[in-house]
Amino acid sequence: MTSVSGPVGTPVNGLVEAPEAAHGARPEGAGEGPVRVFRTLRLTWLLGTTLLSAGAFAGAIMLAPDGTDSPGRALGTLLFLGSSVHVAATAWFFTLPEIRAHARAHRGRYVFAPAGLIAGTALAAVLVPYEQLRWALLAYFAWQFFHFQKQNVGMAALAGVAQGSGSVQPLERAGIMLAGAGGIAGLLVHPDLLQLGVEPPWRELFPVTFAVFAAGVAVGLYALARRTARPPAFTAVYLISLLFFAPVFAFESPYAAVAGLTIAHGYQYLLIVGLVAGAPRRGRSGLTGLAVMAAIALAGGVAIDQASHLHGSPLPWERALYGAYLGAVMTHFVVDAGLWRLRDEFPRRFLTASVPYLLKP
Amino acid sequence: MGENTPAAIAEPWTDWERPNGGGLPKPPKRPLGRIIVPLAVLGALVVLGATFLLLVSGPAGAAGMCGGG
Repeated sequence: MTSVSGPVGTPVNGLVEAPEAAHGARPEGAGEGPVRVFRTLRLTWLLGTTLLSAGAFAGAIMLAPDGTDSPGRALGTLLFLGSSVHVAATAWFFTLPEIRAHARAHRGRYVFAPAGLIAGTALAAVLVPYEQLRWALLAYFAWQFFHFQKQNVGMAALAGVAQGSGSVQPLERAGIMLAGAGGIAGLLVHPDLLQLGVEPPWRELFPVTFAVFAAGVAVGLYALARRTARPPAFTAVYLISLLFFAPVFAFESPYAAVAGLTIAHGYQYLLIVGLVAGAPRRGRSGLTGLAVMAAIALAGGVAIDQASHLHGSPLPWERALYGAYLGAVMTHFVVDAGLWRLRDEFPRRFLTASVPYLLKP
Repeated sequence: MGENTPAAIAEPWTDWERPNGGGLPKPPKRPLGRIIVPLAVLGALVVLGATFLLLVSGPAGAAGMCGGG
């Protein structure tokens, strides 16, 4: 991440740089109160991300049903929050005027792509029988897990910055991405873990995908060992990111192998979006922002959850809803890829304003 | 962007961006409604979410999609 240059208060490419964006997170003239708040929030994120991720994997493995059985209420609840609710939480961003203004200025990503994805997948779900559509879902899942791994890189980078030890280095990033590529490939050649019911002819490549995953882990560990400063919280988040896909190669049960990934990803997201939503805004307290975000996420999550069960419906309009659900999830991938892209000025400014204790500790 | 930058992205976005930390530290007297209403909303959401999970939701798939696809 690079700082926006220019004197304080000077418009930089149309944006006004905030005082703390140039001088650090501590607002000028602020007393010990904000510093303590920022320290607590930074610790909340670092510990929360580590514990939620580790807990998600442990919980999924412990609660996983045998074979092809359905999950119990506990695992079902964890999955509902980690999948449907986390996807719907993205809609909260559009309650903010600055996000709407940014979206209007970038209609391709925030308007046309979502409209095209939702309309296209709704139409596809109506026209294409599910037996054929499920093959296309392999590509959908590849995108989903690539989205997971991009978030993992972002979490590790943010943990490094928040701990003052710098973002992830190119080799550290390469290790995470290579391990992720192996994990994604492992899921595609072994789609039983995705419960898709397809039988691809490339199952014997599973050991090769494990070799790719292991190579990525080796690269990542080597890069981590070369790092000069390894604060414990950064190391924990980095290792979680690097080993994220390990359960894919360790378990035969879909829930033990994959549900942990889904839940960990979703909870990481809900935590950081919750912190962004909880930032005090003009005319809106942090608690109000959090309540609005929770309401949107839960209501949207219920709708997404219901639509996700309609793939086998004999009614075309219900299958269209199922297709729209797929498009909505892909919209989450597209919108997120824009809003968290810290090399771009708008996301950097937006996130620095919302979570200064992470980006400018 | 440029001269036609929308006002929404040309102004401070959070109280943390304002001089002296804006809304931090919190003012000593705060309207009770600003605490109670959001808490009530959050509580109601927990109840609604639990009700939905107990009564309506179907089996969840490991990757987030409906199970048994």
